[in-house]
Amino acid sequence: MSEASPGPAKLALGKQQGLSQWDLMYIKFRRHRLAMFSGVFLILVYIVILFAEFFSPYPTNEKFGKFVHTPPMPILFWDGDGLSRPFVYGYNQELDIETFQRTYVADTTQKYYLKFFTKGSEYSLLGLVATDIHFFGVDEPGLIFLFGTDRFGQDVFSRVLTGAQVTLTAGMLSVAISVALGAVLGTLSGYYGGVVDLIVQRVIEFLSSIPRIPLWMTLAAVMPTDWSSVRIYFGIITILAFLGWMGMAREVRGKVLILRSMDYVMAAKAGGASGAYNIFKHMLPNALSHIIVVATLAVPVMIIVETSLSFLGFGIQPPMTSLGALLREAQNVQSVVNFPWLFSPAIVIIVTTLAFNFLGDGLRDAADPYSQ
Amino acid sequence: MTEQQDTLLRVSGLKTHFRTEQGTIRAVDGIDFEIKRGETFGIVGESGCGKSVTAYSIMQLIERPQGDIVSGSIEYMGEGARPIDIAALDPNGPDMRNLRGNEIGMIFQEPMTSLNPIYTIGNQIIEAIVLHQRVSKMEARKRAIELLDRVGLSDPRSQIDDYPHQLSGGMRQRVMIAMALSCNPRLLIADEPTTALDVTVEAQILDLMRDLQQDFGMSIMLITHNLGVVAENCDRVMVMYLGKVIEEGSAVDIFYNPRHPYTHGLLESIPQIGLSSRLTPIEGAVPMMQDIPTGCTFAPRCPHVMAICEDDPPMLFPSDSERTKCWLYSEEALPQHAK
Amino acid sequence: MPSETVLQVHELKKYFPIRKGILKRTVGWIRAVDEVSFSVSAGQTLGLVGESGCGKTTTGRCILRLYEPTAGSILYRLDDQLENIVEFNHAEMKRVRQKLQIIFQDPFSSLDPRMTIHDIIAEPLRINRIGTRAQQSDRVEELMDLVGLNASQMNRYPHEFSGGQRQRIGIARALALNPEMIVCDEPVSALDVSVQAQVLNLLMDLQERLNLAYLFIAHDLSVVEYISKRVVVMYLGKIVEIADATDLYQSPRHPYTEALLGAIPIPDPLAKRTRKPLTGTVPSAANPPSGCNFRTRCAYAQDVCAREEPPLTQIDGDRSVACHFADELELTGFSRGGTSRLPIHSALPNMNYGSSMAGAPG
Repeated sequence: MSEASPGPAKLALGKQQGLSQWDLMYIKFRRHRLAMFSGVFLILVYIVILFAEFFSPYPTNEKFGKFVHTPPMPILFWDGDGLSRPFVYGYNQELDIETFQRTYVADTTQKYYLKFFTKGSEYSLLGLVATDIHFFGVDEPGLIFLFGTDRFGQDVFSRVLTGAQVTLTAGMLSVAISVALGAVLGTLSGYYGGVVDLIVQRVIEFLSSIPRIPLWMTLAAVMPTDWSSVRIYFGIITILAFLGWMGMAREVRGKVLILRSMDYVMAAKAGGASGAYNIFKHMLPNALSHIIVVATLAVPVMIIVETSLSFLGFGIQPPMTSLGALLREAQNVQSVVNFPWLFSPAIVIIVTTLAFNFLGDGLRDAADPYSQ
Repeated sequence: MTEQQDTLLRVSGLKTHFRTEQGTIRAVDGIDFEIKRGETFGIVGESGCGKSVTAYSIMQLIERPQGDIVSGSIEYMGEGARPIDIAALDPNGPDMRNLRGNEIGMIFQEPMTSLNPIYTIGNQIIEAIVLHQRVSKMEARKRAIELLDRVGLSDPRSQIDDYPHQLSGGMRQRVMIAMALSCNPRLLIADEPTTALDVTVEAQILDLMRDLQQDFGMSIMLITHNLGVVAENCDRVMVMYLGKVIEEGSAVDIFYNPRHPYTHGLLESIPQIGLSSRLTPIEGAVPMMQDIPTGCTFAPRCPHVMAICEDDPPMLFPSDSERTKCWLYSEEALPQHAK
Repeated sequence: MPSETVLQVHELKKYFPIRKGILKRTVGWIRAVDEVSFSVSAGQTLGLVGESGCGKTTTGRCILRLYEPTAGSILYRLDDQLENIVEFNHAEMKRVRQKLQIIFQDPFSSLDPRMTIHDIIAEPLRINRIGTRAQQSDRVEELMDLVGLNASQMNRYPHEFSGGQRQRIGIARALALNPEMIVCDEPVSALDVSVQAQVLNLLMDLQERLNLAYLFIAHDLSVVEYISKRVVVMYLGKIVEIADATDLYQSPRHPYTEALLGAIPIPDPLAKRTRKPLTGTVPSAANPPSGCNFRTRCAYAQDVCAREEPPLTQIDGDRSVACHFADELELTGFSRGGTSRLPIHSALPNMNYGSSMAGAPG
């Protein structure tokens, strides 16, 4: 089986000679613009969140006491005199005497140029390399809050990046685990049938019948409070995966049931092939594209679930943060009206979820390369 | 003119194309034919020849927007003196809806999927009747029972309340026929009506269709790939290959005096009981829709191919009773190329 | 000269359970194949006809033990001895499967879309660890030649081939292990008329060259007549008649055979015949009628048919019929009625002129 994707020359020929099914899928996928774009976008997102500390100008928990609820600072290219290098203005605080609310006013006399690969606080990249280089920043005493700050004066942009790191990787990892679990159980259940199938199916039905949100909450609540945030993180992933594999197993089982009756599986059997040969040589490769599609579409669901759990306070605990935990801060009406930038985590969730769905859509079309 | 009055449907220059990612597929590419009143007109051809698309074009059931009738006309000579050009009608407009079912009925290959499984068969026939005729539900039901009786259901009074899955494939096809005939159409299009059925059931259904044609006096357009079915049922036959008509004539002419090498080849390809001589199949396979040859589309498989065949597509060369699209019948081409 | 038997099926039964409820209790049986016995001689074709649901495909798959038979024995010739393969384990079956192969109906689902033609044809060799990779490739080339495929296309994928070519690939795969017998499960039903004849001719040529035996399963009686020496007719899981093809088609002895023959559409518009169409439909195999299976649709049925099941009995020499009245009934065979002459073969009017042009410079 050649899984190599065709080079541009091969594509340009347009002659579909000797192209494997993977080649055809790739060609078909490339025609799906939105999916292609979403795929590239998601790769970029995951690169950014993997190196969240590098891309965020400040540590997640650094509090700038003087800058509470600062609105987002726009990056400007235009000062009074003309075009300029990108910069931000410094901000002055004013207290509104009547409402006792603090407002921030840009001080056009202070101009801080945006700098790339600047020195900042120390961190260890991926927990391996200690460094103090940040992707961007401004020189002291200037500050840059792209998404504003929260009620402690913490930089929302930096917090969204670290929060997204937790949420998006948790979504991915839990899907990976549930795919593995679902694929194995689904294949066994579909191929061998009989008692195995009976048991797996009944277990799936039982687990699916338990109301989800209360169960998640219960499971999350029984996690010991003295666990470190990293352990809780993996605990959450396990809970998500444990309750997410059923749909996966059903999909795989359905696919295997179809593939099992395919004549080429019969032909291999007639040639003397064993069950394992058929599973690994014929069924899994043919089910794989389908599994990838289902997995892609499962990631956004997991992201939403993790967000919901954390939003309800049963998920990720401080000092770790996640997009759901960040949204908790925007729970009350006051923040909705006064500090709309606290909703930026929600935007990240919506955009990535949509991107995953578009990608899954494109993959689904591509998974059946022979249809028009 | 009596000839004019004889004709029920006249298709001229019909082109139905589909746009796909691989390019335009010319499923039907400029065909002409006429169906006379009361006759059974057969369309034969192998898969991909465009015979079903022809039927769907007449019914304006082409899947849009990928597919479209690009040019040509489909004149239907119904009640009035004035023919209606179906190709110019809005597929979803009231005129077309009135034509479908009321004037032209259709039955499909798959009797399993052409009935809605969630309604009783009675429901579906009554709905068809009420939709086109101003009758009460009670009357429609009476008529439905009559129809089911006519198409050979053994106990129509109780079977009218059966769901499709309670009936066998043959019975379902009978119900489809009853539904298609519910409004006395002048034309019945049967798209491979017996392909999914066993041979004994096929014989029953074809017998039934012949009987009904005598009773109702309708024309039948019978689409099939089975030459035996064509021979036993059709008055006139049109042979299609890759979206084009390659030969047309009376059934006797087509079977006893096939003129096009493709028709000839088809007849030589079918095993006939009692004849033990070896079959002489047509070489090669039907080319993919993407790489249809220029010139005569049959040229690459034709045993009598000439130089001109590869360059120019032949026209229809009519004789007394037949029309053949083949350079072998050209008065000019042969002498010219013989030089 | 009596030929050797390669396959002998004796009282083969295959019942499929009907399961209901969440615990999937068995509430009944579908008698797909019910006490079927026949044998196939080396280098010959046995046709197996019947309508859908008669058990012909199940019979074919039981013989290869793709389905496990419920009862009965399947004797297959291995090293000049008939051995009952029903009791064989996986390793022993491997030995049988080198000698007994199958080709399938659907040219699309019978080839794994992810494998190259080379890998598909070489699969039986790989599974049975025969030869080195290079030897396997040589064999693939040889096989592709044999079935009329261009060996230079071996690195392509199934989707690049037409239905007829795919069926050739399936045949090449079945031939890879040099079998003595092939079960052909409706090998031409899914093909276009013109391609169908190519594949039939190929199968007959291969039979001659390699001395293959075929069990040819089909529903098209004309195709079966063309390729088979002997024919078995099945109805509702049982054999109703076995006879030499010519005898069976000319003078059927079972009413069902008569009805089948009468239903064949004849490609001759001038053929006139009066057929006695069968009424009703095939009963359910889960709940077959008492006595003779066919009596509910039989024009000649009498009281005894409901009471007693007619056994498959040998009558005049080489044929067997399962009917109480096999000796009494006067049944009509296949006749084309009005014309005795076959309709086609009128030469193309310009054909000779045209052919001479074929090679002429343009």
